[in-house]
Amino acid sequence: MLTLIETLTGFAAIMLMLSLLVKTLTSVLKNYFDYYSDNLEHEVKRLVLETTGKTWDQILNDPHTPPQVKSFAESIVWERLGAEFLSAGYLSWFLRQLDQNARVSDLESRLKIHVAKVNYAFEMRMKNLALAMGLGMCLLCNINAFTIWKTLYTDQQLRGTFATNYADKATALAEAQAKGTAQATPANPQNQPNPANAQGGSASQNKAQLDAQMKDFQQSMRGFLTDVSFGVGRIWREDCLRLNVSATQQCKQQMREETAKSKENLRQQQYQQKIAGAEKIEDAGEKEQAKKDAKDELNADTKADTLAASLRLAQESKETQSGSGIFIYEFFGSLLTGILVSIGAPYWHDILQALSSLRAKPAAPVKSKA
Amino acid sequence: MEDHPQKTESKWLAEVKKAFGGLGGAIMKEYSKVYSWKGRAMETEKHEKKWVKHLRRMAWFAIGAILFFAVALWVAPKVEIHGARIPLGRLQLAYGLLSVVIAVALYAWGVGNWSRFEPPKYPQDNTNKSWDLKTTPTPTPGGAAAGGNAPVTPPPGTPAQQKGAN
Repeated sequence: MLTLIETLTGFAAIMLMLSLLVKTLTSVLKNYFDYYSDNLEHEVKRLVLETTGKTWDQILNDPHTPPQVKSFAESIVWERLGAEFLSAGYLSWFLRQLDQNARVSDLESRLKIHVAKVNYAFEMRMKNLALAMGLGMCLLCNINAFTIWKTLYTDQQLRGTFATNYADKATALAEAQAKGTAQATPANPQNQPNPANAQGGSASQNKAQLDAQMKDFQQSMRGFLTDVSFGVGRIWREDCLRLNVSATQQCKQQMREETAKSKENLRQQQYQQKIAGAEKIEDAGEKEQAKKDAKDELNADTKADTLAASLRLAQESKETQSGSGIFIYEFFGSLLTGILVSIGAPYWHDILQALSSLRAKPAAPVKSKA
Repeated sequence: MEDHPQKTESKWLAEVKKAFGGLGGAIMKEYSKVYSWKGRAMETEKHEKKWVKHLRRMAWFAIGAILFFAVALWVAPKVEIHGARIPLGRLQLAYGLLSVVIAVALYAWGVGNWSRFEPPKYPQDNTNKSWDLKTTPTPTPGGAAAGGNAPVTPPPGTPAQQKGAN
């Protein structure tokens, strides 16, 4: 039972770490592409259509529209606007500028709907972005949930490390990130998704923030790939990935032969060098001894290599999984990881905490009995 | 044109059959049934032509994608850069391409294709009005828009026509 709980804890810790990585990557993209202002622009244009009966383009292309209104409308930089732009005061003035006959009487109620739409659309978009990034990352790095689970379940030492140290590390990181997010949002009372970012600082500040986030992501990713090397990138490491078993074995045989040949060449080169060195020795006895040593070394190396090759051959003959089998296993494993990761960091954090408390509990009765 | 919807539909189906063959025609016939069942009757020839164009474009895109996939898999083991062969097998390349396609498709569906929230382009055009309104989704968290106190959004074009009448 403890094995299962420890495996689950380790697995949840890895998923939490991955979720945090995806969160960072999503945040980088969100800041770079500024999806919020995109949604805001669409919603304002919808409002313009509903209140004036004309589309944005129609107003701008209308010859009756005063030139100052046109230049004013064209000069709007949507990236610099946040949700505070959608207030009745601003927009009734704005809509009257665009069209004197705009129906702005029930604007307050309309705006509530439009603000809700902007926030909803943005949130949905961010969820989809996290899903796409999570799946893309897990698939491309080939992070296989099956392999991770299997390795944790079978390797006691690894399981112990991941269920304790790594779980603590992941929890601490998640809490630090959550704190950072909470500190960043007070300017944003209704917990609105982006506005602070959209309107926030200057372009250089944004760039610096983006660079810092990117650097952070790269560092975390490198750390993750080092820590969880056992479940990552098998498909890219395979030298002989062929559709059927016989083709795979043939390829492996060919590779073994090539490796053996190159090793033999290397050994012969080294032997020749040593013989040439021995030839320079003037003393006949020493010369003979050096030649004998070189010959012995060559024989020992050949023997060791033959032994290693036969061991590898025995091991490889046990692994009869074909390329297509590996492909399917790795693809669905990575797909599953992507789906699990897209559930989100808060979920994995809660699970990890629940499992950690569960792991801590059995220790108490044992102590009391003793 | 709108007096003979059946005639228009058969003409349109003939055009689809011409473009995609019998199977394409059958698919479009089924599609039109579902479409009209949803209350979105195929109204104009303009709209239908647009669909034919769209389908044709999609078909070319699909053929192009399959061809690209096949050519990439065939060429991959033979390509050499600076005398060194790219150490990627066909299955590895297929895996990489599939991963990229899934991620890009998800992005395009959930993030990139947000222009479906754009306002309809021709509000005065009666022929396009009905489907334009219906294809514009209205996500309403907490039922804000569906609430009884929410103002009713007039169909695009209505105020302008009223203004003109006054």
